[in-house]
Amino acid sequence: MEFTSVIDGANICKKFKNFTLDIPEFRIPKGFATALVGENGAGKTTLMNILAGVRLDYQGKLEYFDEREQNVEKVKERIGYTAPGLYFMPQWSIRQVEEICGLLFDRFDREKFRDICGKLNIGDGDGKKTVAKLSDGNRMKLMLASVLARETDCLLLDEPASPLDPLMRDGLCQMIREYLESGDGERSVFFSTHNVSDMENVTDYCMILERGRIVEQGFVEELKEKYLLVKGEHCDAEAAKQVLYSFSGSSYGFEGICLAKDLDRLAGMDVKVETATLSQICVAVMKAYTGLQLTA
Amino acid sequence: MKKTVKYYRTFTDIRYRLLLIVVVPAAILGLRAGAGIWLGSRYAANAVLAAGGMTEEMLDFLCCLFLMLFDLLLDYWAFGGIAVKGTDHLGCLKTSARGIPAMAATMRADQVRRLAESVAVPLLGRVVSGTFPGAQGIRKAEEIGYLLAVSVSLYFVSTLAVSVARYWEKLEAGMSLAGLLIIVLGIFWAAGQFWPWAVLAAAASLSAGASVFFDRKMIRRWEESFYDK
Repeated sequence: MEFTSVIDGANICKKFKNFTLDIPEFRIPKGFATALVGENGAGKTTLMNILAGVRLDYQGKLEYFDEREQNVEKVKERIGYTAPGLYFMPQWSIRQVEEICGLLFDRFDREKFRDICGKLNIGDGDGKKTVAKLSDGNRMKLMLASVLARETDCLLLDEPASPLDPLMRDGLCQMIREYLESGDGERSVFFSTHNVSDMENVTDYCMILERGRIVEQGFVEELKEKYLLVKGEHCDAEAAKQVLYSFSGSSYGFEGICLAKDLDRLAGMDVKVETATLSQICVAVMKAYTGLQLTA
Repeated sequence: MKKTVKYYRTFTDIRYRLLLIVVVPAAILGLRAGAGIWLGSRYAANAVLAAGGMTEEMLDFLCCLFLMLFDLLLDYWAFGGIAVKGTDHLGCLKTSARGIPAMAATMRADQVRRLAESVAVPLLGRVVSGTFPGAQGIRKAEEIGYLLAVSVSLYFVSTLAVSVARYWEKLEAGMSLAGLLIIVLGIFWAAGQFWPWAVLAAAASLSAGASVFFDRKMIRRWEESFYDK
């Protein structure tokens, strides 16, 4: 499917001692929610930091928005970025966060910020609670409130779902959806996550990053056409294993992900073909590329 | 200037400003002046203070000592750990083009506040207690030299204490440093009574050097956080 992009990257490379982020071509579709999935240490946060302009030591070229702006400093006002960890000074109070965001960003709406804080139950309502006294989940909510209260064109959210409870994850999906809808196709969201199943209903496009490389990407519907879930009887397990992209078996039967183009090779076997979830696809792709030894 | 004041007001809590700019200086000033008045009164002739050899100069030292300690303590409240490597306390600031310059301006405004307080509190303490000018039979010029030497020394030692403590996350580490710096402050104070102008010159040079050095070092630390340094 053809799309215009909100951020374009070419030959993005960042070398560490034992790891290299190497992305020859990179495009985030405009007007959609894109999930960045990958195992720990795959390079998700590094990539997010590069895109947000809080890490500048990399090689390659990035272009932002329709203007193809290459200087990230000029577009920071239009990007809302949240990161795990100490994003705000621990001694800042919620009210101070509001004042500081108002100072740092021209298009920050204080009323909206207070409204979001109220809806998300952050602090005690008077804004006196300090960041240090907030739980991890509430800190993430505060970060989200601070970026959602701004008029931005793109959100870069690094692991927004991780510290949130299941109810709030659902709320996060709703917020992302509302953000996209309010932009009439002009707003985009790029988020990294380990909670693929919780975020699936808001994900339009998915990138899978392994060992610093994008190993798979595409619109979710396209990925679901490409990767199919196959279930079968134990007697066919050995034969199916040779065909399947990923395989897990037990004494009762097996299941695995099969590439649609290989489906014909399962002819004659008693198998059931279903649509895979995004989570199942991601796990299968990650297993295929991971360097981890997951089984004894 | 207006912008800097705005940054300072935004990045510091109202309670911090009230305590550091009003309450603490006023309390120290009040106590110091009260003690000075007591010391100079006829009732103090047999008092423990006078009998113990307490002098105006000692009160100056105590005034500086408490000012430095409260400065360090309250700075931890506002900016503690701001220069700690790797913890990335400034994530939010780095996402805005004006974040780091705004914080740098705040730090400079705080230095101006520190200098103003370091000079004003010891001097006003003497004025309010009625022992300036002309206390203890010292010539006026030397007395001014001594008080300025003490004030600028206080600024230098406070700058050193606060700037170094910002590189640590634990308050205990900063307070341990303060313990060491009290000795430095004591040396300046003692020397200032004998060689006021020389001490003033030395303290002024060190203060200017420390202010510039720590300002640049902190900004470099923040800039380096955009890179692998």
